[in-house]
Amino acid sequence: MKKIFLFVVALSLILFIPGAMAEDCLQGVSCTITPTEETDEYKITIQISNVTAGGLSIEFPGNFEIRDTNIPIGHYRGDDETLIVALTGQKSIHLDVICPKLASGDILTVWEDLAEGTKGGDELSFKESEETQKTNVQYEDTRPGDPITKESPFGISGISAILSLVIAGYIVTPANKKPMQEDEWK
Amino acid sequence: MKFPDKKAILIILLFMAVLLLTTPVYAEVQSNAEILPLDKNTDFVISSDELASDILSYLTEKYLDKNERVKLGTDLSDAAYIYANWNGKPKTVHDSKGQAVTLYRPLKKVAVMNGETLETIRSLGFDETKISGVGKYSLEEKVFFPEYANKTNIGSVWSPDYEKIMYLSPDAVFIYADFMVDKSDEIEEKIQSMNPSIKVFRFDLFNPSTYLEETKLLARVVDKEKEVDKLALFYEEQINLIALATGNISKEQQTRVYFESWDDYKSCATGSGYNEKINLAGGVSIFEDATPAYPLVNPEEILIKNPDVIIKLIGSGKLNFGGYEDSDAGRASGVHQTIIARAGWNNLDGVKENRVHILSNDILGGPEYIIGILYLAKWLYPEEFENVDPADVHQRYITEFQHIAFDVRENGVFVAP
Repeated sequence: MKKIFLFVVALSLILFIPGAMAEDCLQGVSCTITPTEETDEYKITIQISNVTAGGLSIEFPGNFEIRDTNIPIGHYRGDDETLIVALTGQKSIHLDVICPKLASGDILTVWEDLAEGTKGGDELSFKESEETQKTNVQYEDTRPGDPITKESPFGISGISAILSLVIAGYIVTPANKKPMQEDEWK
Repeated sequence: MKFPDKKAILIILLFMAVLLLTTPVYAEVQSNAEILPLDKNTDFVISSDELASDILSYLTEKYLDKNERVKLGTDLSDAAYIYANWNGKPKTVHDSKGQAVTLYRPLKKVAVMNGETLETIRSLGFDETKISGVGKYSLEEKVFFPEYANKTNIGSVWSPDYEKIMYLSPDAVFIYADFMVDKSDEIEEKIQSMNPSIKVFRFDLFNPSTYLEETKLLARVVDKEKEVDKLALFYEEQINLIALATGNISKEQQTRVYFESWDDYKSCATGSGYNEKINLAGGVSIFEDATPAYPLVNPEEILIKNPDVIIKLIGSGKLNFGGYEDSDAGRASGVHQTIIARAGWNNLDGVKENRVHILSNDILGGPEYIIGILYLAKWLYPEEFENVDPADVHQRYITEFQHIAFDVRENGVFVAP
């Protein structure tokens, strides 16, 4: 029983620590596009991680029209094909848009953290979005105006997961060799 | 009753008019300097609406007007920083003198006169590019402070270069708090009289009893509150390690130390920083009760008091060698030989038992006192610290906090033998 308990503790560490660390470290936006029942209408949901004061540009493949959004008035504007949004602490924003060309084209999102001087971006079609809720590329140490470079989001969380597995293995292995006695817990 | 003549009345009226007219202008200048960027309604809070409006202007130019050359303005970047890091409000911070300073902009350009603050600010991970000027003595430490080699020399507490400070026009200048207090007070007053918008922060950062408190205050000033915990933990680990090993030793059983600075026969007593450090290492200075705090002692008394351990400090005065900037151990060994050859010293227990040690002030006098204390503890209580290698701790400090490529075992001279 105690062995199982120990294993559960190790497993919890594997699951929680990397997640918490990733929450702290990852920065950027991730996007999902879902078609609605209306013709040419899509629901776009954008999750924002650790960008408290910045901006977002969404370039559509053609003309678009916003039907509904939770972005406060005065925090966004746009022209025929591009929407710009001021990010001031929102964790998630959604848009219902009519955009006929989205059926076959990509949207290009670019975000900037103006407090930290970091930026990043992504291209996404609604088909890709359906296939996988593709997200989040993280760009660190780039300044506004720098060329965008991609970096795997695996980073610290992945390494932590591997380390945690090793630790879990280390904890479990001696227990296999020598069963723990009752009084060893005292 | 005699009335003043017309000329006198006219002069008084003129004086009052000038006073009335200039006071609001002056007040306006002062308040303008203390307004948050983009705080359009001047309520001392940058609201999301105030920020959003300028973010949209920036994004419009860049992404709608496709002007790739658009630059992020200082007001917007500062406001974004304040919004994200200070909840959109001014930040009031304190220095070691207890002076409260309210910041309305993040510090982006600072000058640091004292090396202890420069070292601690580096431990906290403050961006080196934000430091525009450093003290004369920091510039001389080319091995320890390589990244500051090309910064402007702003002089020292003894000879501050006000002209350079004014030329740099930094957001803030860091000077000593209580070390050379009169001179430091004078520097503060003069800087602020020459340019009242320059904030002056006072920190000593070499005293073990106040170091961590000072470091926490400094971390708030430079927005490194998250980083300070790691540094504090490092110091606490070493202090706890020593306390655990030496905490139960009674006063009578404490190792008795003769401590001598780079000046011959200048020792330390209660009230001095070195005495405090000997105590932290679990020892007691044989001249603990002497006066003043750094007494010049009679050589005869050393022979009478017969210390268990003898520590000689190098790194300043006539013994200005060793430490980070010198990798030739010969001179430190020479000092060791001279010490043990002093008249009558062959009868001292410390000499007979090979317990005479040379220690560099680089690891005792400043923020690295923790490394020096660890060496002292090991020399004072070799059995208790048998498994502790102070060089390991020293290397960890250099690698994790100072971020310089320096191998303490291969370079520098910190202890002898």
